[in-house]
Amino acid sequence: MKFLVFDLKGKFAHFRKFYTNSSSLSYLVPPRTVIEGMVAAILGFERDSYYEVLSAENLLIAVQKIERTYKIVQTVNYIKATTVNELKNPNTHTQVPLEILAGYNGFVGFRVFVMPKDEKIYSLLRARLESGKSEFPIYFGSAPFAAKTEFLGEFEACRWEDSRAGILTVLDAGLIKSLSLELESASSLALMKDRMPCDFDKDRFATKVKTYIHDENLNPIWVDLDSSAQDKVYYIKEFSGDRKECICVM
Amino acid sequence: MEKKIIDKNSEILFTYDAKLCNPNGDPDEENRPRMDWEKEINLVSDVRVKRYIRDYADDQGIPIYVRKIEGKSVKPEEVIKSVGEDIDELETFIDIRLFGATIPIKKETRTYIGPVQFNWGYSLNKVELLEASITSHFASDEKKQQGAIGKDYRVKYSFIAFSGIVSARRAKETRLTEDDLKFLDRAMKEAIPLQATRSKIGQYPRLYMRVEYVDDKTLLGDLRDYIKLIEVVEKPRKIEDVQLDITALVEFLHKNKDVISKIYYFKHPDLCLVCDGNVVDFKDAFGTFELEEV
Repeated sequence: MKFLVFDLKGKFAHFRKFYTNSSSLSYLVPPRTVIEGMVAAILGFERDSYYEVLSAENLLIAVQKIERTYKIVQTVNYIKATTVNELKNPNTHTQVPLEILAGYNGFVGFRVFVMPKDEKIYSLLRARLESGKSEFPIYFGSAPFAAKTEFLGEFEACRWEDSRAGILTVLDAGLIKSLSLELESASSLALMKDRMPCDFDKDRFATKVKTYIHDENLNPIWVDLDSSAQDKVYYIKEFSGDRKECICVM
Repeated sequence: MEKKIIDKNSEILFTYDAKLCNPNGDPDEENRPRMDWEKEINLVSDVRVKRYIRDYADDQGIPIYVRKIEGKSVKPEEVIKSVGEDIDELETFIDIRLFGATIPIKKETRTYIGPVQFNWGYSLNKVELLEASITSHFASDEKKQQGAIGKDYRVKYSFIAFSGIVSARRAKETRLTEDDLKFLDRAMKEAIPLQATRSKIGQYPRLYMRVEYVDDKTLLGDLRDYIKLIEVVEKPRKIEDVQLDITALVEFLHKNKDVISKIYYFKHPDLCLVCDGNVVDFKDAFGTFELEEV
């Protein structure tokens, strides 16, 4: 099985946390649904038209954070609504803190591994990534925050059968049997945990929400995997060397 | 006459500078200029730039949708009513064609994503703030004899860079025409100095480039990656204290010459451009492209 691999880069990002309301907080990494939306934009699917075609079942996605980031909080003006009607007929505005993700090196970056199971979608996506062209512009979570893709290629991946692995990408916490941190490497870790949506239904409601962890210092996370991780963890030689580092689909 | 809806993407690079003023206040921070304190740089939101464009249109009597009426915030219905019932919003309002809008009327809410989007702007130099107390002749309370005292924050000097995109695919939905884009080009050049209020005086556009591509699928990415500010003197305070190094930009655009159809531009005479270590003229640096000055 082959994964398409590309880097995503942009100046700023805002990946809205689904469980907040009065502040717009951002995840530190894009949830699966954000990448799904970007793939849809590249392919030219209209809004709300692709949640089934590109579901977690049909499109495997793994995301690795490749740039260290920090957050800026800026207050912005939003419509103030306490009822649905006020959303339609706004009376007044309210100031809302907005968390923006920025990178220490001047940009925010992620490495994305995708595998659409549908062959047509796979080859179309591959062609688009190769040419760097996109039907709709892609962005990091919010329309002002434009992003671009840099295609790295198509890479052979195989399922990881071993119970122990170093996970390069955002890791579904449900797959961890035990975190086996060696003290030496543990000191450079900054593990972050958050609940992120994984899949949408046709009305854009999150149907699956999972807990994920990743390392803010960009290290792989060494874990003993649960048996349920069998079809979720893949080994790609080119992104591992001999070190048994794997990717984990979200 | 049939208006031509755009069929090519563009990418925008826009720089302006701000001297002893407040480019974009943060309402929750006593209206201090927005700052990224990690890097000590000044930030400006995309909404601020869109506002300049809208106000510029409004001043010229071109109808815009996101606005106040007689100084008051009103419901969208009132804005629509002010230009007549039963209008076609896309036909009428240039800002919806450019930036999109949510139109919450006539039973069903329509949302248009704007073909033109700006990223947040940031200063290419480290920026220091100037803080002062100001007094008002108006009292804060009826019983008070003296005027109210407030704080006033300004940037000493900020050289701000914005990037933007124009998506032809999205333009199909908002019917953004070539004339509209010509208007945008002009507005980017003229709007900021014309909108000088007390806190916004001292800002001048320095360089504007709209790189138009050959199709509706190409976007090369943020052009700010290829420019560098040279500080001729430490802690610049005016345009003469800086130069803009465009070496990487010239190289990058030439590398992608095949996908570029035209460059629309404006360069302020006081901005000094540097390429390969030499001071250059804009037209010489980009002379191999089809150029149109806005």
